[in-house]
Amino acid sequence: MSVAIYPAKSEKGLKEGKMGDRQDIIRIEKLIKLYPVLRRGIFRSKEVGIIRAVDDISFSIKRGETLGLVGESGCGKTTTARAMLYLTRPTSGSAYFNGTDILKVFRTGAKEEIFEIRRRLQYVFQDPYLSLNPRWSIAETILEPFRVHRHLPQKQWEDRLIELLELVGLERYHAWRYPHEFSGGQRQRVGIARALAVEPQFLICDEPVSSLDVSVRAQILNLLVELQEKLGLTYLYISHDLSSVRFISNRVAVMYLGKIVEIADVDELFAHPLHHYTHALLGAIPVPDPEAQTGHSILKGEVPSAMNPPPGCRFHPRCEAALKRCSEIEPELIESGDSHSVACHNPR
Amino acid sequence: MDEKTDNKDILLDVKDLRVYFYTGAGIVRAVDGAAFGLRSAQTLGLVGESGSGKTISSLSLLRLIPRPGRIISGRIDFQNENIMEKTEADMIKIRGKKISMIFQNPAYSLNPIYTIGDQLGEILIWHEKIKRGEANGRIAELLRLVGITDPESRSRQFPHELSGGMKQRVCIARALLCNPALVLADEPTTNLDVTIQAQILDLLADLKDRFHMAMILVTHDMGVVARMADRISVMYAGRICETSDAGTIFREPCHPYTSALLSSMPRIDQSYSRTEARRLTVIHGRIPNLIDPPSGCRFHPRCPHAVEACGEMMPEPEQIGEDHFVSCHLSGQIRKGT
Repeated sequence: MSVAIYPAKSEKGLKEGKMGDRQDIIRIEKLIKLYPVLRRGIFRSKEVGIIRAVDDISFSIKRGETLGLVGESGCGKTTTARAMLYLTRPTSGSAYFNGTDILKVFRTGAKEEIFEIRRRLQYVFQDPYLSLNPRWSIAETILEPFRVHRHLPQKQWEDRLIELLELVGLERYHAWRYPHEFSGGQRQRVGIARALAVEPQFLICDEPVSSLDVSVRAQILNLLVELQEKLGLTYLYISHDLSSVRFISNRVAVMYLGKIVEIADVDELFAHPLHHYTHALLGAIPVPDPEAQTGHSILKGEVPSAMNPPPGCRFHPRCEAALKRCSEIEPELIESGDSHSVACHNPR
Repeated sequence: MDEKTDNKDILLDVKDLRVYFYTGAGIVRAVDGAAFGLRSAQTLGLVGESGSGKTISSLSLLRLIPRPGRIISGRIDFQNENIMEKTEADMIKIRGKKISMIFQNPAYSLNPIYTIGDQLGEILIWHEKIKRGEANGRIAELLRLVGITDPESRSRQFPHELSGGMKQRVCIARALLCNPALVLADEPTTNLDVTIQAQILDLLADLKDRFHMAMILVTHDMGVVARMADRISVMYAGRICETSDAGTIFREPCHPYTSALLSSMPRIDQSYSRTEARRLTVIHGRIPNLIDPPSGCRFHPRCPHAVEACGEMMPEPEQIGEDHFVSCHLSGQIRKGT
């Protein structure tokens, strides 16, 4: 497959990043998403609390790299992804794509501008059984973005469809089949082809392999790496499965209760975790080797509710190394070495 | 299991188990000639991908195969008695008492309209014929054992008031109520977060020693069996392809499927950042359709080593080492990495 299917078009509608670092394709600053908890009455609802799903997080992703976003369920990984694409309305914060504040464009921009950004930022969903319309053939599913975006003249659609199918490892004749005729792995390939249809630069992959069988996961992970090399894509790879994150990511951010607690290059993070939560998380993964099972630390208790997060460091009630100030002052995410940042008063 | 070895402490011995589902589309051979077994106080890891028949195999031990499925043949010797010959009335006395089960999704396996105490008490009252008050004491004791603080008030709560990890602890307590000889744990931690999974696995290992019970751990996660199992049976398309002690399975897998499965998984203790390392070993193709399974060895269409005989003859389990059984025509020649 040639690279020609990915024409190097000028970023029309997008101002080339003059303000931001050209290296950073995505920069998130102080993103906050709060959900009010309402007690519903007959005539009015009363706000009884706030869930701080994503609480003031900042990170950036360089062009062509994969940032892995890990954490346990409910820590705000998916909310982060959805908020930065304005699929859910963020409470505050900004997200820059090639230097353009896309959240501002989504809020106030013209329809054409919004469409142009939506084309460049696409999403691969977790469950390929739920994210494909069962009544649409594969061709209809993949061509839907063409109908919405109208970025190609209609007579090129068919050629492009076949290119896309081949790109993700499907056959030409699959185009007229329906999702129920496919296995999970093939459906995920369709989901990826649909995301690639509008020539995005940035893909959010939200647990793309966690609903797939073990032997099929490797195929999809390899496909994602191949596509990245071929098309120069940038990924935000969200997962709770640290082994696949280790495989696919260049850098990894660890989330806990709506906060990023640590962010580092992948080998550095797995070899020398600085945050106690990261250390415990890594130690909790069972390694497929009966002799390597020693010395895992077991984290006590459960993740507290995001509605009333603990004061200070959110991890301090479960942390072995907690100091007095951990319960009082919230630690900032501070760079502590070569592109390794950690939010901890008493790092390992 | 090997017949020549000492038969005394063999708890379970399953031979030639076949479970077919008679569906409109045809006969699904979900389990087709599986053989496995374990000794008392041992943990057997039953590993395989979805649809390989591991859950159905474990459900057959309780004769709880949902319709339209049926156990076609097989011999299930549990404590030297053939479960296949038991009457339904006898089975009721075995289920939950001698063999109990921990299910994958604790949220679905607890009844939402009864309190924890009610549904656990029901089991004790039924099997042990004891009074409500006595039952409450035993329940509180067990809930404390599985790490639930303040068990008296917890047992008055409903399942929705507990977190996922807590619910799974309740399910574990429920499985242990009658001191079973064998616990079937079907993906007990698949729906839990990794830190909670580590807690639950530790708890299971601890309780297994304390209660001196055997466990069959059904899972697709090689990491979980590596941590928990003494002995491992790898299932593929309704058949056991390799059985051995845990160390051998991981160090010297002899069935091509076992070694492919192990090498296709990314590992957290390995670096992938060099460009040449950025590919995983892939098992090509897909899991076969069990209505019309491949002839001969079920794995041969995906097997990199397959020879002509593999497509013609079904390989039978062959002993190639002490307690190491492989169903492969090439078992002698294949070692990991060659």
